[in-house]
Amino acid sequence: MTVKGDSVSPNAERIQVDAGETLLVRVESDRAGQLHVHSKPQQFIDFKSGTSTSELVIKIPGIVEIEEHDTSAVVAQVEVQ
Amino acid sequence: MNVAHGLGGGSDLPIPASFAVLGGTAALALSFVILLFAWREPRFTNPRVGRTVPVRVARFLDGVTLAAALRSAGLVFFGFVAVAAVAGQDLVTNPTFGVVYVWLWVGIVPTSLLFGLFFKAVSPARTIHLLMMKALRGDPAVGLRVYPTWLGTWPAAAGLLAFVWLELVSPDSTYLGPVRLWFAIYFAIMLVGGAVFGSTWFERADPFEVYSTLVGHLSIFGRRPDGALVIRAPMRNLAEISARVGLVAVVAVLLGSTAFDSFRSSRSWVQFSQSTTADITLINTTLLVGACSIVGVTFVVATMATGVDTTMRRRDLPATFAHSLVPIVVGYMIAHYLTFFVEVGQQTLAQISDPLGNGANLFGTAGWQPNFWLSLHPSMLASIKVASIVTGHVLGVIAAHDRALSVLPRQHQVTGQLPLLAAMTLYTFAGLYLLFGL
Repeated sequence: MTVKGDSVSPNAERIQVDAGETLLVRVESDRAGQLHVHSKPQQFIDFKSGTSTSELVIKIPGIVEIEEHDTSAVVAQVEVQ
Repeated sequence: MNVAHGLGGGSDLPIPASFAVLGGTAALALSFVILLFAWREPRFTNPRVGRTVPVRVARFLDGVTLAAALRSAGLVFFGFVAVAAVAGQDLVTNPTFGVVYVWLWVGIVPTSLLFGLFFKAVSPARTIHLLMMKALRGDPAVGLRVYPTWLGTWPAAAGLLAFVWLELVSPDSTYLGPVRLWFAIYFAIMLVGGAVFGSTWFERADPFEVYSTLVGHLSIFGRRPDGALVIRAPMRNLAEISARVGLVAVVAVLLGSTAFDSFRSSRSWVQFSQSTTADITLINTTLLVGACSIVGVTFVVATMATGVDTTMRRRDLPATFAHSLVPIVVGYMIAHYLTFFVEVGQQTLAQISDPLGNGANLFGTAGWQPNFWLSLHPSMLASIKVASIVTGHVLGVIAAHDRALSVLPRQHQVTGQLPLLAAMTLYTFAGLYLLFGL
């Protein structure tokens, strides 16, 4: 995903993964921030200015939204099977 | 950009297409089986039917002790949550939100299905009104004026719409200020209305009580016309719902708003909300009101589109049939809210131990982790959802069929049911389609 100030992309992209599969989250950003992963239970990913990569594992099936905290922008809806 | 993020984690996976098709086919086929092969004389019209509860049990259930205990419990619990809402931290972990949106709003369905008129028994607004009238030595049942018949349950419909607007449209649904304001206005309207119209006001105007009482008519507890407490088939209780003005509006808001909730979290709608520069709150308000209106208008048209004779007024028909939508509402509520209720409900139980967010553990539940068993079994979850929608549909069709036999002229009893059958099938297909995902 890309963050430029208040502009965040992509826009609610649908991603399909299996429960327990590792998802790589790559953020290119001009500021630090945090992603809220609305999984059960919730998870948080911090990112810093520049390019950062984090691993995300969602264990419980469902539709999980990933939201950039400052802008409340939903960047992805992860369909966890 | 304000996609209000409600409580808790993500939503359920969409139901598989095969489940949706199977559910839809079953609903359609069963509707025609009922229309063509079910009984030809009305069965649910006699309000005197029912097994009386043993005298001792009835004396306890109708007694002062239980009533006082339930009223006190309701008031104490309300006071507890009010403290959290006023003095607690303005974070989504404040138990106020879970209590309001999960325990109260969704909890009305299971508690009323099990116990009947549950909210009426614990309603803090009713209890405060009762205490005020006691202090003034007045009769709580009598107000300054008689409640006008033409108003019916319209105030409750308006209250329900206001509540679902706060929950589903307002960008501030998970901030304490707006929730406190909503409930301050609710209590003010309830207490003033109670003083003016007596306790009838709560029966017709309290959104939560009206909702709970409708669902409570699907419990096994009923009253005979002489007031005796009886146990009987829920479908007989359902037929006892009074056909009041505004009943269609209440049911339409319940069904329409739940459909809107499914729709607003769909990916295409989220993408649109995030890319538009238009006022999304205004658009969502219009859509919410539109969804409720579509349900209401299709129902009114469908119930009125029948042959009548000179003994009846066509415009009385929608309210006469409105009770038949209650099972459809309940089926859809179960399908839509089951995981939310079970999982966020447990999370609220943990949060309630720490109402002020200062690390307290009042009830020893603070460390509890919700059990995600339901979410871990998505196929079973999808089966439960489809089964509850189809069951609600079938019970609705049966209730409407029985009512048609008792109110429609004989030559129109079968054809007169067709438009309503079509409307109900439309609601059920729409419900299944929304669960299948856009």
